[in-house]
Amino acid sequence: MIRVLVVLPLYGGSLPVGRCAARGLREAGCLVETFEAPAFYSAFTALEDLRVGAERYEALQNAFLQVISQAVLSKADAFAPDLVLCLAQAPLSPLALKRLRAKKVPTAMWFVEDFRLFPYWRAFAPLYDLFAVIQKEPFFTELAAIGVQNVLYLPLAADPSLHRPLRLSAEEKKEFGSTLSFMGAGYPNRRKAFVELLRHDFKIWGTEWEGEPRLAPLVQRQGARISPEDTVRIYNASAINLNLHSSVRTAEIVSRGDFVNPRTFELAACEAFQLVDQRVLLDELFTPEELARFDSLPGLLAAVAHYRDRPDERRRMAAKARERVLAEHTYARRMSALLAFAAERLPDFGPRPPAAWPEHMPEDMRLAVTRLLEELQLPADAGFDDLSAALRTKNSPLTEVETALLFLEEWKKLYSG
Amino acid sequence: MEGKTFGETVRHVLVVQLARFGDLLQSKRLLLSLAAEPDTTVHLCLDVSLASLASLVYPQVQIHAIPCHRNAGVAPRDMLPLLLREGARLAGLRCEQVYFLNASPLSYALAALFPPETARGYVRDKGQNLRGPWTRLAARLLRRRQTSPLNLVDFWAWQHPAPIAPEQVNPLPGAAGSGRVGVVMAGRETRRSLPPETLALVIQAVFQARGGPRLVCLGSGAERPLARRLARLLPPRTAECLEDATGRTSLEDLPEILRGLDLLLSPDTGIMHLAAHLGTPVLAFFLASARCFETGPYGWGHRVWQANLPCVPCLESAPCPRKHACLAPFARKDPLALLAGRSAPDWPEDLLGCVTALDALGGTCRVVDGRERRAEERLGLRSALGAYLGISGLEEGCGETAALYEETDWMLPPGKG
Repeated sequence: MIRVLVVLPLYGGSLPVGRCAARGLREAGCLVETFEAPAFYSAFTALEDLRVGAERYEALQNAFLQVISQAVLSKADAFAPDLVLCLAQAPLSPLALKRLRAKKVPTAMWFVEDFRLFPYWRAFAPLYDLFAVIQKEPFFTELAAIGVQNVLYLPLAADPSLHRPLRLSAEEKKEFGSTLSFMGAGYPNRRKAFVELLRHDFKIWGTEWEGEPRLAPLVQRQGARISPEDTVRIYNASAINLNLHSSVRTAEIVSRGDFVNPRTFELAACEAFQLVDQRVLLDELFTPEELARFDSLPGLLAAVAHYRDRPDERRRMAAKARERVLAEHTYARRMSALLAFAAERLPDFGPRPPAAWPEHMPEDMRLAVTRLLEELQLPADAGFDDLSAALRTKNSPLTEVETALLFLEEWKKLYSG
Repeated sequence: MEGKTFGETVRHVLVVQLARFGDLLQSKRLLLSLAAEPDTTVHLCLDVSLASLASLVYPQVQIHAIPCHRNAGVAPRDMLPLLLREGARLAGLRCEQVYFLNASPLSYALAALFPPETARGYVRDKGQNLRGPWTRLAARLLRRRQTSPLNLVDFWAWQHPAPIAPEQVNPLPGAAGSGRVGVVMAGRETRRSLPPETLALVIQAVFQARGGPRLVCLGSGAERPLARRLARLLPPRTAECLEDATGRTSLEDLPEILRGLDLLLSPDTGIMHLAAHLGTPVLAFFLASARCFETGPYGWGHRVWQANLPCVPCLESAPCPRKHACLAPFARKDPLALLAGRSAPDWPEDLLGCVTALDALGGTCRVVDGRERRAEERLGLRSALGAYLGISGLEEGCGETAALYEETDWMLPPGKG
């Protein structure tokens, strides 16, 4: 098995992507541990509340991030991963990345951000062994210019275990349903577009919608953050899900950017109908028969008018979109692509030979091990060391079988050297 | 239910001691303290090779043997069934407290079997290996070994809130009157033992002082070549009195042999601790990484020669850069003359002549010949340690008592275990 340590960010949009990536890696047959950086987030916000001098605050922030980086390194030491996969904003300092490189632990970054808006990749990309991105040119060229060779285009995806069609109760349909809906933050281009849709049965979900009185009656739950589970309910309950990629500029409602957002894949996986704005990279991911798209505000209004009263057409398209996602755009597939890329570019990368199981294992023990592998979601060909690594992270107390196996593996490690 | 039949009022406590022969003996004060509690059955989990001896030494304790050592003598096919069976037994005891005495990965693996709230010492909680507060504090003292004030027996005993008095641990030493002197050839760590050339000088001195006793060489078969070399190095009359019992005695035979001795000459070994357990007088030689204030024979009145060089105690795993300079003091004229019963005006600076003693904290050594480096610091720490444990009346020193504590003690919630 390949062992992957997924380093989640402290916060932000790449956090759910990281969790999905971890599940995708498991589905792709890896033994996965996650570094739960969000658990440290409250300590970070406590620093914010100190109200000290700016320089002192920044020094504290840096010191805090060094501690987190040390924690990641310790986790890597304990878990002995074949790959450390970091999501954008993962708290790994340059020093920590260099330490991992010195120890020959390969690192990968899945930079699920817009490279134009977040230019800090220039300082960090050369420190990773693999750099996966959601955009193509000119990003590829710019990365090459700073010496980053192992670049992989890895678009976002959906997690079918979370993003799926639901059978909603009447209460849920009432709470989450509407003819039109939008789930996301109140970026300027969205505000400008949505005020043109006020006459529809329209619900807006998500944060940062303050300051636009005309939209205020449409904003649900006073603009509170919506959980991933409720997001899926909203997708399932809405006749038309609007999917307008964000833009800080209001001059053009459709920004015609390149990358495709996660919502596109998630809605498709839910078999939920969506109207999505045209993107440069959209056509290679979905056909117009799978996703209805618009390229301007008039186009959006026309599309709403067209699809509002055509439920069969919506259903047909949504079904096709889901089929496409399941075939090509799951996180498991993305992670398989990443692993294949790692195998191609990194020397010695690949599944380590599974450690031999104890000889003469009694039959009842074999059965117990089979059950244990299933329970821990490990493949049947997992090695003894893989099982032990999974057991090491379990909460105490372990069962007699688990303890005996863990003990024996420690014994072998002690005396086999 | 195993052990005493006190019905439902019987409580079970378990001590997990997975280390060696000497450690088994040095767990005595803790085991006796637990056994002294009313309606308590004490269980001891240890390596299979020590089970028979443990039954002899601790008849009041239930023994649970598992394979821990490389040469535990358990066939590979039998390891898992044995671990499983004993694991089930141990878990079934539902022990109120489980004392883990070793920092080994095996001990931590076994700790996973028990609810963390019952564990003491080296514990495991939610997959995290931890050291309890007392263990952490004592380990901190042991890091500065030249001033470390605590005997290992007491380190383990003080896991118990009120251990039995040190005087109740081992009997006062008394010669058997047999005219026999035992000679332990070497311990597990050969660097901590006197080579035959030096040992021959010591033996000859003892031989002269005691008017030609019978000498019995003790040790495993591996030490037989050493015993032969020793015989060749001794004067003929002394060599005639030498009986080579190396490799001819099992662990279970040892108590009987040791009981029949007037004196045991030994480096820091398990046999030395067994002699102290039985009340056989000991003259011990501590050098290299061995330090009598940590692992000297426990009780009143045993004698120890301790090498007193700035590099002692050293790190056993590192090669000696000083050509084993700590051996030289044991061959000096004056101590040997004193041992032979003659006057010795010039005791060397690089050797301490000590007599073991007890105080309210536990076992210690009183320096009667020579001058201990940093004695004041050691005594100061011992006194501070006494204050920490609520013990008064210890010998005062001038150690830096703040060395006992770290920021984590002051600032963080108390640790588990």
